[in-house]
Amino acid sequence: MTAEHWTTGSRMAWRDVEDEALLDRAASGEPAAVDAFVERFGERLCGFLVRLVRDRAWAEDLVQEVLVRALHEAHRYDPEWPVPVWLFAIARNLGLDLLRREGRRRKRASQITRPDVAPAAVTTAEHREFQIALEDALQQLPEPYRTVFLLRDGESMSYEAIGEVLGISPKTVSSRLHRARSALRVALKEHLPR
Amino acid sequence: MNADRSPRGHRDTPPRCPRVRSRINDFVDGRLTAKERGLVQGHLKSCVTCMQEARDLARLSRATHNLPPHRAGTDLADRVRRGLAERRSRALADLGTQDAAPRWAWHRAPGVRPALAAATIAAVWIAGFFAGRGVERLGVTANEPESRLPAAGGLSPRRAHAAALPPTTIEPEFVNAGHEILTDLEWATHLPQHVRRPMLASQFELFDLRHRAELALARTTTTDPRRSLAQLVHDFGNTLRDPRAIDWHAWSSAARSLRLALPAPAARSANDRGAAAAVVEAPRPGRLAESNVAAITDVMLRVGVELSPPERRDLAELLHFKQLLVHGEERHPMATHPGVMATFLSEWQSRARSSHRSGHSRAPGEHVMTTSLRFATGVHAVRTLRAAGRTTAAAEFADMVEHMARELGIEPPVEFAGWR
Repeated sequence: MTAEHWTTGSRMAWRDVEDEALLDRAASGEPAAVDAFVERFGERLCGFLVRLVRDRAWAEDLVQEVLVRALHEAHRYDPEWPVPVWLFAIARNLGLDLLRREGRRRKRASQITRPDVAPAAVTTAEHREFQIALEDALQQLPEPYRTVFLLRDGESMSYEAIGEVLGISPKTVSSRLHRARSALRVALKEHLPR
Repeated sequence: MNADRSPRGHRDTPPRCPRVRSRINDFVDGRLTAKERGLVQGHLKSCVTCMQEARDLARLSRATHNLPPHRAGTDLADRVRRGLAERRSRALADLGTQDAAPRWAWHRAPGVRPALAAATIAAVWIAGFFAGRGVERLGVTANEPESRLPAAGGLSPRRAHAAALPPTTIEPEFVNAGHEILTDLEWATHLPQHVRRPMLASQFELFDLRHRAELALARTTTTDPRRSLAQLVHDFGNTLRDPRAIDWHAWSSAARSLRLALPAPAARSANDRGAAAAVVEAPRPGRLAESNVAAITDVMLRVGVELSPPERRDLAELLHFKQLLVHGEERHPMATHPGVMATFLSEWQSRARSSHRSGHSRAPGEHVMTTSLRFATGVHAVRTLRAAGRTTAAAEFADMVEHMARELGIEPPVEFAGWR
């Protein structure tokens, strides 16, 4: 049996481990579980944080902090909610803390960087243009609306889960989402097919 | 109807549009009742403006979901591991600082107490598997008359004298036992949460560790690392009544901190070496004690009470494990090792879940069980051989253990990295 086979087998095994069990094992310090945990959630959290704080370097620092904090304080996790709900709640709180802190110290220009990888599905210039316009339009949305929109349409979270992340009711989630989508629709009208 | 089809938007839309638009998000997100959905769909068929809005929102939603990823650097996992280690080291340092504070105040600090409580309860569980020997290895004696000491909340008069005792040399036996127990406890974290609790609960009545801990504390000074371990056991008495409050993750962190506080393990005693060598070298180490098999069966059945009917069915099939232990090739004293149970149950749980997800109600094969068993045995063998100075043989066993660990999808013990 080769090392490559073992690695592949191990990855397959981690893929089958549910979020809660993975959190459990990663929090216990099992190195492979930590790796799997980072692999499963790191990219998603990074995408969310880049769009929340609008700064790539800050977002990278925050992702690390979110994951470390989640693993160190895993005993605070409430199994009533899926693990991502808890992670995104930490991410949002840390992101807003940073924005409050750093926002006072210095005015930092919006430096959201373009994504690293173009997905295979996106092949046409038109699609690419639409995505860039969407990223730009997202940056113009006020944070409460942007966050709700990213959690719903980016992460496919339920209204109830988003309410848990933000500490608001599902009804408020619905209303913020409505406003966010309406604003984006107006901002992107040139790019949406008639 | 013509008004509905007007491209000029709101002014020409019929009165129904605003009402539909207020629900269009819920429609796109599939949050409407069947009746509401039917009404909205009916309107969309006749209103181009609203239909366009619904299409736009759906496209927006799809596009956002498919936004390209942002990667957080290839070294993120390394940074997280380092960050976690630093965080835990700081927690250890805080623990030390608090120890210098007024006596018995530090373990009441937020976060520390749950950690200790969890550790002690886990210690009891392990002690149960060791049939009482585990606790005594901590330097705590069960049968001494002084063991009847005050209940929770009050300080033992003996403890008042503890600080005045001269520094104690830590016996190698104590250090080794400490490391072994911590290793076992770390393994216990592999158990799914809902399995741990009933397992622990089943052991609660077996030991009056609290009293033993009181005694141990009376014998240690504040600078004695044994004190930390004894302290863990002490808090056990205060938390037995609410096993749901067990804080496993905090415990796990505390266990690692304690490992750092202990000196490096010394070589085992001649007796230990002899016994372990016999285990390693004997091709058929002998029949497993029936009482151990009964204990395992009992624990598994207790666990089963907490499981869903399909899981219980799987578990019933898995009671073949008992047969395996008694009659199979893998019978071995190490079968009662908690690491074996932890690995076995954890593997079983994840396999059972996978089976259910894929629609096959199939219990995991014996292969997993036997591999788990061999794995735990192998770990023991490597440690034993290392302690006996047989490095070549230890390296061979380490290879085998790593192989099995990967087969089980788990990591071999970290200490193995430096042994080969």
